[in-house]
Amino acid sequence: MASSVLLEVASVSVTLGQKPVVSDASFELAAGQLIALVGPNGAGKTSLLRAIAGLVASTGKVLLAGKDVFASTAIERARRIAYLPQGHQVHWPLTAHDVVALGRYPHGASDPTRLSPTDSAIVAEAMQRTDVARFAHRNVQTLSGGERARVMMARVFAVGAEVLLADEPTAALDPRHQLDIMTALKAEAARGALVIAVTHDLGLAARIADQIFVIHEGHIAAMGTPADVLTASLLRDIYGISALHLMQDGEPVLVPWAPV
Amino acid sequence: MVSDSLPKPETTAQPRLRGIVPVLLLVVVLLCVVSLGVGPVRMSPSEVLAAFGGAADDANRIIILEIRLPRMLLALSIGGILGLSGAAMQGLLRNPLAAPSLFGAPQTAAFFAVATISLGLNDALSWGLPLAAIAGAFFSVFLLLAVAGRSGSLLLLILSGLAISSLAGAGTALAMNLAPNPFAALEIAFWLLGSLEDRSLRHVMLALPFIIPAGLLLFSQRGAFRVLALGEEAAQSLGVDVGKLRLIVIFGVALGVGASVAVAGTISFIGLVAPHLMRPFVQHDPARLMLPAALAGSSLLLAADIAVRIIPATTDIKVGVLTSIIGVPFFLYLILRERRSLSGGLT
Repeated sequence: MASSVLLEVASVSVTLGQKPVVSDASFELAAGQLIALVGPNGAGKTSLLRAIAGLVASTGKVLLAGKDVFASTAIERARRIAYLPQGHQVHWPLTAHDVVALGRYPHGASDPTRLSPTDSAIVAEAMQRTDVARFAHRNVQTLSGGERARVMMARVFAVGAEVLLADEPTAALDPRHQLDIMTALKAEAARGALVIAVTHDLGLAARIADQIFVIHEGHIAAMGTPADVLTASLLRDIYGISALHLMQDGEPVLVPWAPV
Repeated sequence: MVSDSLPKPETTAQPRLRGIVPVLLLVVVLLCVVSLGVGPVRMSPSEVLAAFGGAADDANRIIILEIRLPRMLLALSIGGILGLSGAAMQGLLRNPLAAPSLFGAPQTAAFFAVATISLGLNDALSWGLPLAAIAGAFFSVFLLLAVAGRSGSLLLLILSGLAISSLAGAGTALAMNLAPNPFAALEIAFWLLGSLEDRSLRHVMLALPFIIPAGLLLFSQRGAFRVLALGEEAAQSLGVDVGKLRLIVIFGVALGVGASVAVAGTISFIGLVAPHLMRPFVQHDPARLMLPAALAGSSLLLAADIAVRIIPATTDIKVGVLTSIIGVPFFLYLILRERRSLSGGLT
C-alpha cells in the first residue's frame, strides 16, 4: 500500500479566527478511488478540503506522491489538484465552452478562443463526458442548475488533475442530476484520479463511494468502507438519527429514518 | 488521456466578433486628426498633416505642435487608462458598476493637488501640483492597505475606499474653505472640474511615464480576470494569486488614474462607461474587454474634448463637466437595466 499512496495528509489543522475547525487530520489515500466526506453541518468538511487544495492557511503537511504540495508554486499545484467549490456561480455571461476551457488555465491556456489542439481536445472530451457539448455556445448564466453543475464538473475534469476535490457537487440538484454527477465522479476515479467529494447524501455515498470519511467537530471520526463506517451506532452518535439499512439488487441501501 | 482518434472538436471554430478593435483604432485615429484640426483656427486634415511635415506656416505649426498636440495626446492616454482601469476594476470586483474611483485614488490625488494651491505653494499650472497629485494617489494606496489589510476581503477594501474617498472629499472642501483669497478658491474649483486646455508637452512627458507602465501592468492581468469569473476560490485553485492580483489592480489604477488627475483634474465616468459600451462586442469576456475598453475610453475623451471646443458658450465648458453630464444619466440607465434584468430573472 505504502508505495501506491498518492495523497498523504499528515496532522493537518485549520483555525478560523480563534476556532479550530479541523484538528490533526491524518490519512493516506491511493489513486483511483472515490472518497465521500460526510458529517453534520459545520463539522469541518469544507475546511479540510480547502486545506488540501491550499486555499486556507493550515498547519501540518499535505504530500502529493511524496512531495510537499505547499512547497510547489500555485500553478504547479493547480495542475495536480483540481477544486470544485460550492455554488457553481459564474459572474459573467461566458459560454459553457469558455468556462470549461478555464480548466486549462494552469496549463498555460489563458485564452479560450485560442486553445492548442491538445487543450481543445481535452476540453471537448470533458464536455462529452458530462454531456454538455450540446450547449457549448450557450451562456452559462441561462443554463438550469443541473446543466450548470455539469458544466462546472467538465471544467474540473478539463484540468486533468491527479486529485479532484469537490465540495457538495450534488447540492440543490434533482435526483437524476445527483446520480449523473456522482456517476461522473466515479468514472473519473476509475480513470485513475483520486476523487474526494463532500456530500450530505448518505444513501448515495453508501452506494457509490469506495471509502467514507466521517468528520465530526473537526476530527475524522471514522474512515473505511461504507458498510464498516455507516453503522447504526455511528449515525446515532454523530447525526442523532436512525437509518434503514436495506439491500437492493445486491447493493446496500441506506435511508435516514428518524431523529433519536 | 485523449485518444488521437477523437474527432476534431467543433468548439474551436466559434463565431466571434473580432472586428471591434480595428474599428475602434480607426475611430481613435480619426478623432485624433479632428482634435488637432478643431479650435479657434480650424484646419483641414491635410493642413494638420502639413504641419507635421513642416510644410505649413509657422503659426499653424505652433498651434498644432505646441497647443493641440499635447491636448490630443493627453486625451488619448488619459481616456485610455481610464477605460482600462474601469475594465480592470470591473474584472476584479466581478461587477459591471465598479469604477476606477472606488478605492479613492483620484479623490486623494485631487485633494493633494488642491492643497498645494490652497497653501499657496503654486498655481494650477505649475509643477508642484501634478507631483503632489501623484504623491496623493500613492498615499491612498498606502492608506487603503493600512486600513483594509493586505489580504483584506473585497468588501473591506470597498468600505475602506469609500472612507478614503470621503476623507479626501472633506479635505478638498477644507482646502477651498481655507483658500487664502477668492481667486485661489475659484482656481481650485475650476481645476477640479477637469480640463485638457493649456497643457504643454511637458505635462504629457510627466503623465506618460506613469500611465504607460500602469496600462501595461493592468493589461498583463487580463487572463486572471477571466478566471476570476468563477469566483475567488475557484480562481485560486486554478493558480491565480488573488491577493497579488488585487494589489496589482489597486496599484496600477492608482498609478494611472493618479497621473491622469495630476495633469487634467477629475474626469469622471469614462472609466465606468467605456467598458460597458464595449462589453456586448466581446461576449462579456472580461479579458478580451481590456483593449476595446481602453480604445473606447480614448475615443470618448477625445470626442468630449472636441465637443467642448465646438459647443458655443460664452464661458469654456470643462471637459470633466461634459463627461459627467453625459456619464451620470448613462450610469442611471445602467442601474435601471441591471434592475430590470434582475427582476426579469425572478418572473
